[in-house]
Amino acid sequence: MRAGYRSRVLRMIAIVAIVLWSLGPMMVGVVTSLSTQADVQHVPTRWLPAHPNTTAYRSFIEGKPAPGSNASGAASDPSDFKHALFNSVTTTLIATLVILVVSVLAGYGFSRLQFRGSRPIMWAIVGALLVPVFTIVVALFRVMANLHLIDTQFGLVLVFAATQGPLAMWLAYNQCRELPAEPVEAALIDGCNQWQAFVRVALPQMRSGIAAMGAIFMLAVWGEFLIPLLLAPTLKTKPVTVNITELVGKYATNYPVLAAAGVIALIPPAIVALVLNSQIRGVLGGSN
Amino acid sequence: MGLLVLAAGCSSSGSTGNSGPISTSAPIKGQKITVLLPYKVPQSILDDFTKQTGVNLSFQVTSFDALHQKLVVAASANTNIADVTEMDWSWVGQFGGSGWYTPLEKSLPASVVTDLGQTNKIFTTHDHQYAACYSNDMRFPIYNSAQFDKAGVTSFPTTFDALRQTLDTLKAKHVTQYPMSVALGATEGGITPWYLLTLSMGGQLFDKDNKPVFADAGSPAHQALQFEIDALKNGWVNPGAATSDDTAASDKFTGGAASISLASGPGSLVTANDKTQSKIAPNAKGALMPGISGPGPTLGLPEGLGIPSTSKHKAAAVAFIKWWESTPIQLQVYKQSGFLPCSAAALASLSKTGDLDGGPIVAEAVKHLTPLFPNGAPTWYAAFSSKAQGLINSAVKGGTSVDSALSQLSDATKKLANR
Amino acid sequence: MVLPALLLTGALVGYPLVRGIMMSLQAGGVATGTPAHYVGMRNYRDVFTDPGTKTAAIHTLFYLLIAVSLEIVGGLIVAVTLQRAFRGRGLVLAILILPWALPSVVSGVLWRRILDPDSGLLNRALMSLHVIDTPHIWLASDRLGIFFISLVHVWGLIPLVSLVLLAGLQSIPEELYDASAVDGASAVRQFRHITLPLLRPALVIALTVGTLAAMSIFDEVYVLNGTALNTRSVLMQVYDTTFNQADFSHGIALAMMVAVASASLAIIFGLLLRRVTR
Repeated sequence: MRAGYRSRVLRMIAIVAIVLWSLGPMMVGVVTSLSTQADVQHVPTRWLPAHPNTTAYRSFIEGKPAPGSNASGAASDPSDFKHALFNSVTTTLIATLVILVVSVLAGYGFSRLQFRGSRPIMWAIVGALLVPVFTIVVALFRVMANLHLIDTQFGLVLVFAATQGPLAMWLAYNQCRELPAEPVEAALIDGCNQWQAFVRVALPQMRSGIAAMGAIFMLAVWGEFLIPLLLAPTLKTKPVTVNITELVGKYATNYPVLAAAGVIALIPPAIVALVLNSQIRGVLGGSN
Repeated sequence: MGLLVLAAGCSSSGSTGNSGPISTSAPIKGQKITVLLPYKVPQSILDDFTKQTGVNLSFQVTSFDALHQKLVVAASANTNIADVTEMDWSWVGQFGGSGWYTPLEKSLPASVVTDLGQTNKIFTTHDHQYAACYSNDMRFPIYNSAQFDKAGVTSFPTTFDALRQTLDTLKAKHVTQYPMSVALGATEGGITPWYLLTLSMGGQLFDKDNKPVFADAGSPAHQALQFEIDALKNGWVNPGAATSDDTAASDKFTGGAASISLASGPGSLVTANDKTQSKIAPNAKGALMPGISGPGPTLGLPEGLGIPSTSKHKAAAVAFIKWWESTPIQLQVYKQSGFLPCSAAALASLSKTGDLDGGPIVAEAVKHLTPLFPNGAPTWYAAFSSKAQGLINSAVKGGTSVDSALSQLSDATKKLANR
Repeated sequence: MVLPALLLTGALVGYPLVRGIMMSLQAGGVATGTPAHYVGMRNYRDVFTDPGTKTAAIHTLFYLLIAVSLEIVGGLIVAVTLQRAFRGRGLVLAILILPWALPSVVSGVLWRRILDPDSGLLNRALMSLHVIDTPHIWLASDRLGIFFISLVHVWGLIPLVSLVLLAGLQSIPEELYDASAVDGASAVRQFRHITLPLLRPALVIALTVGTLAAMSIFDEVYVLNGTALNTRSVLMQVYDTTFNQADFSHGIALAMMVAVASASLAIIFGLLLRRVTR
């Protein structure tokens, strides 16, 4: 039945629907990025640009301000974007790694090593999920300033680990609980200590779950706005999410440039998804 | 124990507003200051400051809305973020009134203060001046001269009756389906036209003690709001204006879909005549706002430079403002970044050399400049603006009557002022 | 093992939270330039009785109901579809996550072009199909405004919900399916009796994430419709109070109430789910 004709057709329909739903609105952005400003301003809206061109993309690759952008009253121009993109990539990779290490350790710890008060402590950490960022920004900004961690990548990574960590830990905790207990116990009987049992036995079993988590938290960190807005003031650390808002001008916005920036900023996350796919094992297909 | 260390770092007391002059005798050479603005300025201009004063400069930019957020968080955390920052006209009450910024009246050189003239008062609250004006932004109409020619309209109307007629003509001759573009959405950009219309219809929103005067039936504020509603009803303005912001309104004009952009200004005029950003270049012309019996006031929305109280390099910060306000730098910044100077000397120089984009109309508009709060915006402006955005937009969409919207807004304002 | 997580979250979330709560119990302070003093629950009472809060809360409840139900149903369909490896799954996965990765300022431009009343693609499409005769101002209407903004929100969040559910599906042992297949169970039965009950922990997380995100809906509303009264959300009230008015005391009080409401809702949803999936 599973491999039956009906379920295969259903799945095809679902796949087409997923692709259309995700890509449909996205195509509007891609079309905008390939248009001229005149095409974008055209009334009624054009489905397709009259003069498709890659000027907007070239302005990012060459790192030059688009012609005439000076008078638009914008806080940035395409020449800054490369730095921001680099910052986003490095911060995201480091932060995701830290989030995974910290949260898998904690999730495993809470699921295996029951100690007095371990459950209340765990739910207290998970409860941090509920904390609205508005309530903590002032004190957080002050703490980071006192520790001289403003405009440092290290500071950003710490804050992302602290704010994203609770959700990551909860996901990891659930996974650890689903793991069959026998292999770890067997390893312990064989003379492994808890640590060795974790690294050699439990961790490999969690591989695909961790890969999915990796995708989730890379994207979550990639999309952060308010925290880097406050903690990453210069191009030394400023990520694309913050830099892109600076392309919006006071008098005019170069829409093709803004849309092209958005499209370029999608490439790293898309690569992440492609790479991680091979790690997310198919339950029923079994193979990869 | 890590927590204790952090907590200890947070117990220092807030700095108090000191109104004395900043000592400028101490050497500032070799210091480093941070300047935080919402606009990019060419590095070549900024390098001149370090060359002149020996002070190193870190120039940081953040988009306008985000900048306000940043300043509010930093000030609430009593933590320094920059030595010189943007100070919009609308922030003066909030930032000056709470002691977050340093009074400048005794620290700025007399020549600068004189040169900036009337604008100083807009940045003054509680008897202290908290910023020096650097961008003389304002709102006046711009129009498409080619489309006006096509409709046989020879000049921009100077009264509201003439404006109504012009709009009907443009529409009747099918030059543009919706001849006027104006933002009426629930944003700051969407209530600015209401401010502008109220002023040019001969009114004000507040008296000199910042008490609301817009609730009386028949007041200019009433007529202004009614004009916006009529504009939608008569098809002078596109129906979607009710949910659109000012950039979208500009786009309709630069795209050629509208012949008049009502609440526009010098910056948009430059953009509208830039071939790379506008379909209708070079046909955009500036105009004075119509009035009751001839051109009315122009709404001034100036931006200034202020020094946060937490700055540790106030003398160097003052040196920066002094350098920035000097005529040669004002001229360069205008030519490369488009901020219309507030300085009388720089303006005079620009109109003499003919370098003023938009030409005589801008110089003329400066003479009609009227701010919303001539004596500085009140502490509660942000709260007022938020209420106004919702209520004015609701009246425009027909969800609330004009009377009800304005009396609700007036009551809310009185409550805010008494808080 | 749990120490790093505890220290990080404690120092950078827990401690600032305590300071934040202290601010919400005070009046005055840096925001007003007057000395701060404790006023007990007064700020909470102020925001609770504010008529603006009530309307915004009702709007937010609608956002929540529309968004969460669409996300869970949509997320389940996506996760089950992608559960099994197939040729091209990586590509579908990559396409799926794009909306989430799109910065909100860009997604705003894109959706404005779709929903624009004068020249938007939606109006043009519906008019050329003769579904409507005149352009609709979608966001000006009370119900449709909230519906379309919810839809934009869901578009951005389905990827996260799907990935959470997919991660949950990965931990269901294959043997269970194999065994039930031998017993001749249909795909629907398998979904009902194996997938759903075992997916419950992941569903709870997805529901919590969805609830929290919908309760704090802000960007989509602001970018598409500004602060218009017909679509204002609770978090816009929070944002306006804290950042625009620089009144953190009241802003945090309201944010805390939103957090408590979100937590209660998440727990209620969790309990309901327990019933449904048992």
